[in-house]
Amino acid sequence: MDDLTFGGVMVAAKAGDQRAAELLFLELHPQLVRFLRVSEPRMADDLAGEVWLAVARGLRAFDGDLAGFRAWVFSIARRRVADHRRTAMRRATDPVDEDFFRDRPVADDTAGQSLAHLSAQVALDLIARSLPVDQAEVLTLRIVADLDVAHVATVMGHTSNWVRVTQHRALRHLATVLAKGPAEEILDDRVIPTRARTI
Amino acid sequence: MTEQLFPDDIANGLVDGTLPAAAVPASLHDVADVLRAAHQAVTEDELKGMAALMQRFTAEVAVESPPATIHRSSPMFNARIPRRVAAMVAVTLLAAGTAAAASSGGAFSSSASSRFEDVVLLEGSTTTDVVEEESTTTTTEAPDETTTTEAPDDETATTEASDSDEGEREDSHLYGKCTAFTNGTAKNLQNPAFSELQDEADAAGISVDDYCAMVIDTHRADDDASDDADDDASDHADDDASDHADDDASDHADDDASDNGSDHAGNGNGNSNGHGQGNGHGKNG
Repeated sequence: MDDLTFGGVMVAAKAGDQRAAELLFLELHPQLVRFLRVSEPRMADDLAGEVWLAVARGLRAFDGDLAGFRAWVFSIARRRVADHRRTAMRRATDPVDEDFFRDRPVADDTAGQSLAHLSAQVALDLIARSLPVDQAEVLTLRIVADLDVAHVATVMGHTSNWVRVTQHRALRHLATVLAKGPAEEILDDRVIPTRARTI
Repeated sequence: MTEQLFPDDIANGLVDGTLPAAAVPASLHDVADVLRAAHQAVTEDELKGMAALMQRFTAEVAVESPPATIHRSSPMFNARIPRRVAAMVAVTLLAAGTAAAASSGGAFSSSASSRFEDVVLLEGSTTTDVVEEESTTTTTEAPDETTTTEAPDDETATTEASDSDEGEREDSHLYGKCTAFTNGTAKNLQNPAFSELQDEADAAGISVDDYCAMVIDTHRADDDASDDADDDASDHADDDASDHADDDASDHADDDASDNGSDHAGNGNGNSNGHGQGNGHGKNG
């Protein structure tokens, strides 16, 4: 969807056209789900529903192009993830045990695979588990949400230069990690504490 | 020690997945593979439950959308306001015309009434016709259009005598046919024009000649009776009119005399009534 098409679709969606709303949903939902699965794997679907509900309620107030809409949606998603984590910390209950990643089916798929043949979810899990939160979040927003540096800075509340520097550090850090061994070993050996496991 | 950063185009190309493999630095080959894998499209397994979410989202968008605008057939400024302005102008003009007619009503009504009295007198109408014509002339403000103002009278006459006129028309119809049949040289009863006379005569049990003679005699007797009635009616109308005119004149004369008498009595000169009260009031005043 280009910006010209997006403009017409957005006008129709604001007027209540359900077909236009479907187009907006289909444009971003796959990336949104992937982002949420990287952030909160077990709550991704519930969080996605909350995000789209918030988008529907705020759609009339939105004004911008497709990149702006994408940044707005992922800002909502990022806030929902933060709210969920805050609530989970207050309840002092963590539904994810320490062996969560070991039991995931995708972890078994990495055996014998080269880095070039990783699935997208495994690659993102690798990024999320190998990097500090900020660096992993910058790369995830750049890759999954398809946002440029400026929009990532807007979403994360930092400057573009901070995003640019963090992105450089993330690439160098990831290169250092990958130099130590195959991906499956990284995923098995680098067990990140639960709270730092996701971005 | 300063931190060594990759060039921005290489870093952005790697992250965006647009950097050619040949341009990737040797130290970042593995990173490029991971990032390229992360750019893969979403699988169907990842999109389970998407349909339900989409349905909820579209329903919420429809609910949150503003209410459908009411499409007017024409905007207010194009339809309602000109219509209202036109109505106000029409009312204003009507009021102004009524006021103008009221202010100049004396001279206008006198000239119009005299003109229509002339018309009515020429046509031999009654005084009631004069009153109707004056009222019609006042509303239409077209005293010269005498032909148009006479039309309602004809309509009224036809509606008032609709039932009796039907019998009279039938009588005159038969009278005309009988006259033609009686005066005609060829009394052909097979002629469709005279077949009706044959039917009527057969119904009465008499011949056509006797039937027509009866019809003609009856019609002439009715004419005589109506002429007498008209003469009486016109006479009575003239008498009433003259009586009313005399009464009005005498009443007005009495009123004027009494008014003048009281006025003059106030001035001490009230001798018109001849009752001696004027002098008394004059003394008191």
